[in-house]
Amino acid sequence: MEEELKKLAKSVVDMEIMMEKLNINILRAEERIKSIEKEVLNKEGDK
Amino acid sequence: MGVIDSKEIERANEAYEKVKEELYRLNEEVEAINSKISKIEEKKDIISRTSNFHEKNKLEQVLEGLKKELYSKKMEFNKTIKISNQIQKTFEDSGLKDFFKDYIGEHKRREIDENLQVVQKLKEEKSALYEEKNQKTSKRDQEIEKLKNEFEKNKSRFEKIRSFYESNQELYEHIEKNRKSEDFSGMISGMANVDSKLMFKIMDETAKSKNSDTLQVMDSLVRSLEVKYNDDLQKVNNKKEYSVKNEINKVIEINNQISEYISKVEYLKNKYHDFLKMDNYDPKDSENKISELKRELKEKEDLTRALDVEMEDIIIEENELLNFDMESNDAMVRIKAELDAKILAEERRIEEIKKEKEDILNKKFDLEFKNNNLDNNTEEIVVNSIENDNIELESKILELEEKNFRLRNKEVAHGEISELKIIEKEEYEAIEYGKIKDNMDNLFKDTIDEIENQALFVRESNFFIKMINTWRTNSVKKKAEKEAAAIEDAFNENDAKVNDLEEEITLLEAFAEPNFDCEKYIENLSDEKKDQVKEAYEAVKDLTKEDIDNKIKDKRNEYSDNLKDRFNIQKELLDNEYRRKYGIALPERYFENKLSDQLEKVNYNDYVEDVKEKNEDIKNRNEENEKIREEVSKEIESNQYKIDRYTVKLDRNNDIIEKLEEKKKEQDAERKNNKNDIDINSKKLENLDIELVNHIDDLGSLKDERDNLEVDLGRDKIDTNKEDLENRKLFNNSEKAKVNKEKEELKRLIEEEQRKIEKHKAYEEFKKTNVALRKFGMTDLEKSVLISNAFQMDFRDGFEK
Repeated sequence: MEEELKKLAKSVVDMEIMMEKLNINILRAEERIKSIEKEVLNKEGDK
Repeated sequence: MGVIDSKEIERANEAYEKVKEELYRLNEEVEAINSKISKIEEKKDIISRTSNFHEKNKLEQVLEGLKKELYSKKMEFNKTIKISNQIQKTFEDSGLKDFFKDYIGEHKRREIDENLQVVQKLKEEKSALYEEKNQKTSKRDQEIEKLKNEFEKNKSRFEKIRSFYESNQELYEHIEKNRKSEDFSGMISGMANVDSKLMFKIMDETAKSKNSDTLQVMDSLVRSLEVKYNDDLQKVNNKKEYSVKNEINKVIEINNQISEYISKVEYLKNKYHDFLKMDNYDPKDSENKISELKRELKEKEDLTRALDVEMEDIIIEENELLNFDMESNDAMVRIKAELDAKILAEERRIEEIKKEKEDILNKKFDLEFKNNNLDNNTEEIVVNSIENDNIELESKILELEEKNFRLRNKEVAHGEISELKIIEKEEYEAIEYGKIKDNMDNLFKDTIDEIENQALFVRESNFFIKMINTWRTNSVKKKAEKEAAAIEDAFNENDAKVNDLEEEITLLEAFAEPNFDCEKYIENLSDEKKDQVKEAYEAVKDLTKEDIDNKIKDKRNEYSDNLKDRFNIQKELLDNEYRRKYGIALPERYFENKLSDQLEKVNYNDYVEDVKEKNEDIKNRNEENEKIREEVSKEIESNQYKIDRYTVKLDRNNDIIEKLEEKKKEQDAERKNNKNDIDINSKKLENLDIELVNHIDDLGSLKDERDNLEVDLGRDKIDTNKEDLENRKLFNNSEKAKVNKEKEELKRLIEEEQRKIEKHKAYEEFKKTNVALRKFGMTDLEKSVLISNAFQMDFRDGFEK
């Protein structure tokens, strides 16, 4: 029973890590898109 | 930890596996979006430089597409988080709560802390990368600009060098001449001459020819000097009057001088190179450029100020955010404490209700268990089973009784046979001895009677015959009368003999008995008889049983012989009597049939053997019957025993059945009571369930309130806002650094342009002075002084170096 519970706990922790990872990846992608917009498209606006 | 079913754990695992799969899928898709962004980033510099509106529009569309895609992934991610929370809530309710709190909580916290550290690190890396990227971009831009200028410069320089080469033949010749005419000792002074001379020559010639690059010439000069130096050094080595040491020192000195000279020439070459540019240089260009650069500088200054203002705004926002963070945190802590207290109270009440429920359930289960046991109708089953046993017992008893009935019949049948067949041998034999004799006597009597009757008939019917034979019969009669006494004597003798033999045989048979008691045997006899018996007993008492039996056998044979004799004597007697009466012989036919059977019996031993055999058969049969009777009797007895036992059991079973029936009645009453209790407990449970559901709902609402507290207080965006502000600060700083660098660059360019103007002024002055010098025919040294003055610092500095 204890082993099974530990397995379950690992599963939950893995899931949490995966969530964090995915969250970071999404934030990174948003940040990069913003950065491109600012660098490339805003420049066009300046000109 | 609460009571956890392994099935629940399995279900939880499955649910989490599904969530994980979904997360992996989403992560892959987000990574695909990131790789698309990377590709765009590779091209962004090119696109940013281009003024092609179409390209930028296209990029904008692509970015919008990616943003939408990312948004949809974000939504899916949020859904997955909700599912995960639901799963967690479900399993918290099912007893995994403590486990989640204690075990996973700790691991999760650790993992999240680690991940937060990674995020922080990544953030730092990101900032550093932004910084580096900005630096690299500006550096690269500068380099590109520089290379462009270099390219243009080299292009014109190439042209100039070519024309310079063509017009500098004289200079080469001069250098060559100098090199050849001087010996080593004179070389140094020559070099000094060459130094000033050549320099001025170069300057002069270049001024004349307006060559702008003397570099190649200088290089050639240096190289030729080095060649010459090497040649001379070789010569020095060859000269024996110089000590090697001195030579080396000198050479070193010369070497130093040459190095010094080379650096001088290098410096001059550069300066001169700049100086020569002045020909094509228009100061107005620099002035225009300066004003343009200043305008740009002003713009940058404005931008710096704008960035400063923005930074101030950011700091204000940051302070506001911090204040909000603190205030909302205080509020949150307070509200959370209140909610925690309420949640704790609700949880306690839930636990109490659960405990109460558990107690009632246990009670109910006990009662149900009791009733189930009572419902099992154990007593009825036992009663049925016993009744079945009874039926079986009764049928067995019946079967055994039938069997016994048959056996008794058998016993009776076998008993009857034995009674019919039992005949005592001795008795039989005793009867037979007299019987044979009597039979024989009776037979003779009957025969005589018959003969009498026949003789009468003959007498009456055959008168004539009688008359005729009278004379013959008289003689027969006389003869018969004479013989009659002898025959009668013989008969009496035989009779006495037979009687004696009978007595003897009877005595011997008595003696042959195993327990023969002589005294007892003789006690009722006459004295004479007693003596006879005693005498006879004395004669055989020492003999064996077998000897006595043999004696008996002999006597019996003797008896049989005498009986035969008696038969014949009786026949003679009869014949004699018939002859005496009727004067004729007795017809033989009277004896043929009637007495033949009796004669056969006369062999007494054979007869006795036959009787013995028959008696043996009877005896065997009787023994067999006895055995059968015994067996039957035993079986009957055993069956009876069984019947008795079965009957006892049957009675006992009936007692048990009676008791069980009573118990059943008691249990029915108990069951009824239990059922009532169960109903009461069920009602209690229902009420507790309703109460529990209400409390769980309240608890859920309180937990939701607590979970959503951050969102409700607007604290969920604090981190994002902080991060945004941090990013803005970083961006502002990097922008500022960039602008500062650009400003520095602009300042440098302005200074450069100003120096160019200054240089041009000097150049103009020099040109004027040179023309004047030429006019006045000044020496090279004088020119040198003047030029030096004209170049002022530039030249002086160069020589000093």
